[in-house]
Amino acid sequence: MPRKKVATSSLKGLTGASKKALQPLVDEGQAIQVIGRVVNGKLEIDSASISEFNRKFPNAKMTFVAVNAPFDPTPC
Amino acid sequence: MDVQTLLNSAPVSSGVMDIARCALSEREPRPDCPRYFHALEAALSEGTPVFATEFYTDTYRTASESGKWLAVSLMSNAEREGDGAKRLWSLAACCNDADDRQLLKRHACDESRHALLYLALLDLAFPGAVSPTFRKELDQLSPHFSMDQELFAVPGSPYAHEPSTDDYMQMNIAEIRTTIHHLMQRQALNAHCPSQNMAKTTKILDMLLRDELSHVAYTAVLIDRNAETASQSDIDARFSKRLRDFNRITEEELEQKVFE
Repeated sequence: MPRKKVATSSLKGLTGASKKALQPLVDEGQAIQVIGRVVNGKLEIDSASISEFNRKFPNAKMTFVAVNAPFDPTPC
Repeated sequence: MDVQTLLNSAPVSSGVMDIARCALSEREPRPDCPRYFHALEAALSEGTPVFATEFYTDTYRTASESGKWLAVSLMSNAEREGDGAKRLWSLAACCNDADDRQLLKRHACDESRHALLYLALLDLAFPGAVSPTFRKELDQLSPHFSMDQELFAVPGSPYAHEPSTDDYMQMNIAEIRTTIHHLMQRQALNAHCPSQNMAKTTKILDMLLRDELSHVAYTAVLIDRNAETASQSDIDARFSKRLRDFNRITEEELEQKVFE
């Protein structure tokens, strides 16, 4: 079962209370895993981690993201 | 329209004008902002922006059915909030008006905190979705600004300039779109979040919504104030141009999608 495999890996590195607290969520199939890192303040998501939905959905890095400041520094 | 009505409405039915009215209704005393509303109405008369259409909300709903997509989206939002905070911090640093400077500084601090709130939503909705190491790195997406810090222009920032009405217009339009995103995120998180974490999630979402509406409102007030010394037709034209610009950016973002 692919979901079970993902769920188990999401508990890797966790021990004791954390693992116990998360186990029910894993059992419910809630757990997912995203692999990435932050480099020089920029978010980098492992492409293999998101390839399954990148073909089908809008790019989650580019679309439906918050903008709260001016978006064009050139005055109109 | 009040906040509860906004929350009870489907995102698509919460139009741009409704969000602006709701935001202003939250302020005491409630400002009229006739010049701002005239400009907003003129801009909307050119057509509904894509981010206020059923197509937009339907696209989001489809994508957010994937928990992994939503988790990445929350991280991306944290990144953008952190980036926005730096732009606002630079603007605030260059602002000569003391009152406006404080408003911009507060706004920058809000966005800096929002970056962390989006990560808190990630933790609550998708426990264990990222490794402890990656999770710690994600905190770097927030610049961790606070009101007791000295303002400074972020080196190299193109936003290190005296803020103008044009800047406030861009911020206002962008914040309205962010509010629409927020309404969509509420529904998506409700579907994914473990029931035992839902109360905390709702509390964070309420904080975010309150802030977004506050940002829509204060920028509307500044636009209206600055419009006192300009012609209404000039204000209308500039606001319409910025709504067209942001609509085009939104359409370009949507084109990143590849439907099978």
